[in-house]
This record gives sequence, structure tokens and C-alpha cells, in this order.
Amino acid sequence: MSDFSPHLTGGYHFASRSSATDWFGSPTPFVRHTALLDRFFPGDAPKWSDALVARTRRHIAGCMNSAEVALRMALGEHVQATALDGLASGLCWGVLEHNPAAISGDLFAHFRVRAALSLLESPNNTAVHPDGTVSFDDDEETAVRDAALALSLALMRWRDGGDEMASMRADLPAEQMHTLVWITAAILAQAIAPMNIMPHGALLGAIEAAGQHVLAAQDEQQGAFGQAALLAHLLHQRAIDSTKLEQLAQDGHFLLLFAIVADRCNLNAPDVASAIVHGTARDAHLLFRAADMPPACYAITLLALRQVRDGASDQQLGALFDGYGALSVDEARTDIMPLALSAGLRNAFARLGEGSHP
Amino acid sequence: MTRVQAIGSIHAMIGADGQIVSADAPILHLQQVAGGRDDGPLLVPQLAALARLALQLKILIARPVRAGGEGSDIRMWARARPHDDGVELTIHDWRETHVASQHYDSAQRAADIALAAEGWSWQTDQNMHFVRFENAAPGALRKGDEALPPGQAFTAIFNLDPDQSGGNAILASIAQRRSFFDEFASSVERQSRVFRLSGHPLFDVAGNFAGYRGKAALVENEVEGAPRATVTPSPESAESFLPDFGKRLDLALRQPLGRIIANADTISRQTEGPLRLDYATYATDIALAGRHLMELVDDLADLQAIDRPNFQVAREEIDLADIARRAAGLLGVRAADKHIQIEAPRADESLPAVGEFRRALQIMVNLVGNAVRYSPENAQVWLRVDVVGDMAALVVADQGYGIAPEDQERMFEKFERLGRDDSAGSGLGLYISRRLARAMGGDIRVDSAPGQGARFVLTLPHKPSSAA
Repeated sequence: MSDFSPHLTGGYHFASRSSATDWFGSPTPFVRHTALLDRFFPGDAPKWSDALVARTRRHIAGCMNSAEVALRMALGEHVQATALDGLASGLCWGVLEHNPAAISGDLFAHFRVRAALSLLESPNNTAVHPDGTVSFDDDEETAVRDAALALSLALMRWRDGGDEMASMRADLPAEQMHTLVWITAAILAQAIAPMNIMPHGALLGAIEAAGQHVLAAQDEQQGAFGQAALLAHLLHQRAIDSTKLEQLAQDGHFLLLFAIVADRCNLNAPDVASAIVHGTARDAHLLFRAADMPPACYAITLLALRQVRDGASDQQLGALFDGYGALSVDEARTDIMPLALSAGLRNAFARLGEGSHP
Repeated sequence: MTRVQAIGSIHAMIGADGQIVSADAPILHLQQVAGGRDDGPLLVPQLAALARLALQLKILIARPVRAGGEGSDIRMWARARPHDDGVELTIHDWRETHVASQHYDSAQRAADIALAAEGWSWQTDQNMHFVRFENAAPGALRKGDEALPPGQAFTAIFNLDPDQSGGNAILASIAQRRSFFDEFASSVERQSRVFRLSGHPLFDVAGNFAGYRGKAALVENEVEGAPRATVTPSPESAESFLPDFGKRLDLALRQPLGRIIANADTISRQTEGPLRLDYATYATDIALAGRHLMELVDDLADLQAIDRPNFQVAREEIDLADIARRAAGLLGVRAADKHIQIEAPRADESLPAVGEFRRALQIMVNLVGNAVRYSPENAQVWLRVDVVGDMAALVVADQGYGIAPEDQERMFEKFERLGRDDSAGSGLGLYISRRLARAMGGDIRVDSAPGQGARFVLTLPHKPSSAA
């Protein structure tokens, strides 16, 4: 077993070098990240459920372990096969647990959405009656049937609630995968450096090459978000009736529902999922209405969201449900316009503060 | 109507510097529509962004993409695979949805309708000779109500003399093939009549100048028998006809609004390049809102004019049946959008009356426009002419929600909208229409009950035909 300490005390540390900060860029701005973390603690904002906190940890740990395994395998081309045997498995997650600020706010938020979706689609969610697979068996187009099946398989992997340390396929969208691989690589490099198995410069080069190798093998279309977006894209020309949409909601296929909302509103599926999981009932109302979804989909989604955060009471839900049609589709589309802005502009508005956007 | 076209996989190779190394025809066509060269940097914004992201992250990106094509929206599933020397783009499920032509037509027709009450349409050829001038114009432009023969030079009809600065804004715009808005010129034959002119240059498919199309509106009416004011064609003297408030409105609002509308129309028609459909729709919304504001400006200018104690209108022989048919024609497209049928008097019907043609048409456009606006879909609007005593009557009957008896007089008051909070209308139309009708010796009455539709009756002095 390794004597590597997850506390990073006494070991080799890039940040201990006087010029390290200049080399590796400025510290991450944690303002937004802190705001997101606040939701885990007492305050006025809705509280995340214990189930979501546990499931988010499971997803981060599983995906990070998966990335770590891939990086170690890629490093094998640069170092002796046995040189890394002394490192404990899952060491990157261990470091992150004790240094949680190392994960970026965006990546953390993505994992929370991903974990929330896995809970929404879970058989334990009493708001729905999950049937496991997204079925378009009777569709005439092979591509639709294949995408539906691939989505079911991807989501099945997400629902794995097993051992926290067990690897989980890191099928993240490209931006998040990029962040995950490099934070994992950095932690791994910190752990390897004190072992003196190779010169410092060579280690940096090897870890860089390993990271590039892992990223090059990534195909975001194989992930659940990618498959949901593809299926929604393929279904765009179909006249999916309200009955089918309501059936999708009742069966707990929320990721596909959110992807259909995104497709109809010309938005990104991860953005829509994030807005619904992180936002208010009003946000979900706007998105579902803008996509002209039947009210039952909205109601079932609100009920299911109770699995991941404390939400509206039954009475409030009734009022929200009754008011669903009061907003026109055009009005809702106008209100969701900010979501269609580029991420850079939205982040700029966020940095300026709530309510500062026009 | 939307047409969907699906074709197979499409490929392109983009260099690390963003230049197109190779590409299949559909991507090259999009590139050309975006204004790029076949071997230049990829200019299709959505695909270029995808390629940049793949290069930056060094990860295969696979996402839905929606791009604006030439008269169509294109939805596709794009995969961008990074390589050492660039990005390989593979497009699956390319679907084109043609939408723009319908969009263009509706905007064009909406523009025609919106501008109908403001003045007369005209069009010239590339030599600035009139090829079209709306029939209503000759009486105002020429002595003796002679028809305006085609081929008349623009300068033979309008004075384009130098102003105080030695130049002429209309001439300068025409020389530079630019639009002009709300410039003033007097009639060559009837110099006492000053017109407000707006025009847009026309170009043929090869981009060659093909003439101008525009509007001409009489700034001040000449009252029959009244002494003619001496006017010069300079803008300053033309503006002196207007009361202060109306002049300020015109100067402050009309010109910028005209430019907003023209630019929004240009954007929505995508004449400068492809655009995502929702952005084009926003531009259409801006143009419609601009036209609504322009109508309000017109109403307020009219209000200023008719509230003056010495306000007078021309008294000429007009045909109310003809005016009804023209109003029905002008509002036919707006009615068709709601599947409303306007039943106008037959082509052989005639009802001579005394009044001013332009003002009578303005009243009818207002009454028929209200009938269309407040009628449910698939309804019918009837226009009937009749003689009641010594008055000629034109009836506009609709199948709308009707008007309560207590509201029937109130609705003719200024800014009265009977509690409606929709964005359409200024609440001035009926007030202005009744004032105009009364200035012509007539009136407007309404007969309605809630749920029973409404029946507006415009009466003007009847002029029995000479044959009778």
C-alpha cells in the first residue's frame, strides 16, 4: 500500500514551488462555486436531499476513479508497468474528499444534475413507475430504435448505486470531461512526483500525454446526455403526441423529456436539465410551457423532483399545476431567452449579480 | 408550410487554423451563404464553434446543430473529431426546413397594409420614370384630376429644387441608391401641395439598380375655394404647415422609426445573410412593433390636425362603394390570417357621395380593421352601401363580441379602449374617424349588443348621379 497522504502534507506539492502559481494559472474563482455549495447548508434555498448528496458523491467518485484508471493505463506507456503499483487505487477521490474546492463549480454542478437524473429515473422514485428502458420499438427508423436502446443502457450505468469507490463510466459532455481528466491528472501527478520514478519534467510531459490520450478516446455521443440529445433530434420531425410525452414522464424518462424540451426550444439538453434541477418550479414551468409540453409532464416532474430537493407542498403544486396554461407558449419562450445565450455571456451576467441582466 | 429534406452523411476537414481543407457540397453551400470562400476560414458560425471546441478540448464533440441556410433552417447532428492537423466534421441527419419565403411574403404584405393609410404607393424604373402611381394620387398632384400617364419623370411630378444649403436630400439619396424617409417635395403642377416622400431603392437579381418604390403622403390638404398658400419645396417651409407638436413628433419619431422598421425588415428577410429562425422572428416582432408606433404617431399627428379650429377637408365626388372595395382589398391579407371573409359591395355597385377620398378611405380602413381585429376566427365582415334620405351610408357589420350600449358612445372618445389591454390600437382611431366624418358633413354611428356583433354606419352627404 502506498504511504501517500491525502492531506498533501509533507509530500511533494507543486504549489509549494514559488513560481508554481504563475505556471499553472490563477486560483479558480470560487464565488459561484461557493454559492452552489451554500445549497448544501442551512439557508433559504431549497435543500438537497440526503439521497442526492450521497448519489452525487457516488457519481464523482465513480467517474474520477474511472478517469484515474484510464490515466494510469495511458501512463503505462511512459513509465515501467510496476512503478505505479505502490499507489492506492482511488487515490484521486481520496484527495478530492479532503480538498473539495479542487473541483470546479461547473463540474460539481454537472455531477449534481447527473446524480439527480439518476435518482429521478430510479425505481425508488415513487412519483413515477420506471420501466427501465426508453422504448421506441415500433418506430420505423432504425436510428431511433438504436438511440433509444443506447440511452437506456447509458442511464442504467448512471443508476448504479453500488460501492462509492467502484468505477463508473465517465460519459460526461466534452467540457466537463476535459475538466475531470485534468484535475484527476494533476492529483495523480502530485502523488507520483514524490516517488521519484522519473525526472520532474518527464513526469509533467507523461501526465500531459496521458491526459490527451484519455480525452482523444472520449466520444460524448456515447454518454446519456449525448444519446438523449441525439434521440430528441431524431424525433424532432415526429408528431409526438401528448399521450406519448405523458407516458415518458410516467415511466420516469426525464432525461429524454428534458432533451425534447431542449430540442424544441433550441437549447442544450444539459442546460435544460441543470435549470430544472437547480431552478425553481417557475423555471421548470417556463421551460415546459415554452416547449408546449402537456401539463401532466410538468406536474410529474415537480413531484419527482422531491426525491432530490425539498420542494413545493401538495397545495402549492396544485396551484402551480392549475396555473400552467395561464402562460402562453410565446410568453414562456420570451422568458427563457437568457438560456439560449452563450455560456460566456450568461456567466458574465451571473458575475454581475442577480437581476443585473436586461 | 414546412418541407423536410433528409440526405446522407456529409464530411468536411477543417485545418487547425480554421481554414476549410475539404468539404462536401452542402457545407460549401452553407459557407457561401455565410459569405465565405470554399478554401477560406469556416464561417458557418455553429459549425465553426463546434470545430473550435473540439480543437480546444481535444475531444470528439457530438451535438445537435441548427444553422440558418438560404431560405431554410437546417437541423443536423454534427460530430467534430479533433486530429493533430485539424478537425474532421461529419454531419448526420441533415434536415432542411424551408420557411423563409413564407416569412418574407407575410412581412411584405404586412408592410403594404401598415403603410396603406399613410400615403400613396409609387414605383419608378431605373431611369426614375413612374411605372406605377396609386390611382388616388393624380387628383392631389395634377390639375383637373387627370390620370397620371405612365412614363412621367419623377422630376416632372415633384419639385426637387435645391434647399437652403444648396442640395436636395431626395436627389442625393437617389444618386447614392439609398433609402430616404420623410423628405418633403411639392407638386410641380400644384405647388401649394407639399408631399412627404419616402422611397427604397430596388435592385434586380444581378444587383443592378432597378428604380425606387415608395410612399407619398399629402402634408396639408388644399381646401376647395380657399386661397392657396404660397409654398416652396424646402423642408423648412413644408414643416411650417404642421403645428408644433405634430412637427416635433414627425422630426423626433417618424424618421428613426422608419429606419428601425426598414432595418428590422432587412434583418427578418435575411437579405444580408442567413439567420437563425428565432432571431428572424424577433426582427419581425421589432418591425411590427415599429409599425404600431408609427400608426400611433400618425394618429397623434391626425389628432393634432383635426383638433385645430380651422381644420377643413376637401369636398370632392367620391364613390363609397369603391372605397369599401379598396378597404376590403387592403385588409384582405390581415383578414385571411384569421380566416375572416370580407364581403365587399359588388364591382358594379356605386354610391356617389361628397367628401375627401383619402379621409374617407382612412375611415373605412379603421372601421374594417377594427372589425377584423375584434372578430373571432372564421367570421365574416359585411360591407354594404345604401342611401338614407339625403345621406349615403356605408355599413360595416361584423360577428365580433359586440359592444354594450353604455360603451357605444364612450368608444368614440380619445384614447378609449374599453378596458382592452392588448397592444393593438391606440384608442384614437374611432375618435379621429368620427371627427373626419363630421368634418365632411357626415357621421359614424354604431348599433350593437354584447354577443351580437357590431354594425358601424358611415354616412356622408349623398350626391345623386347626373344620370339619375
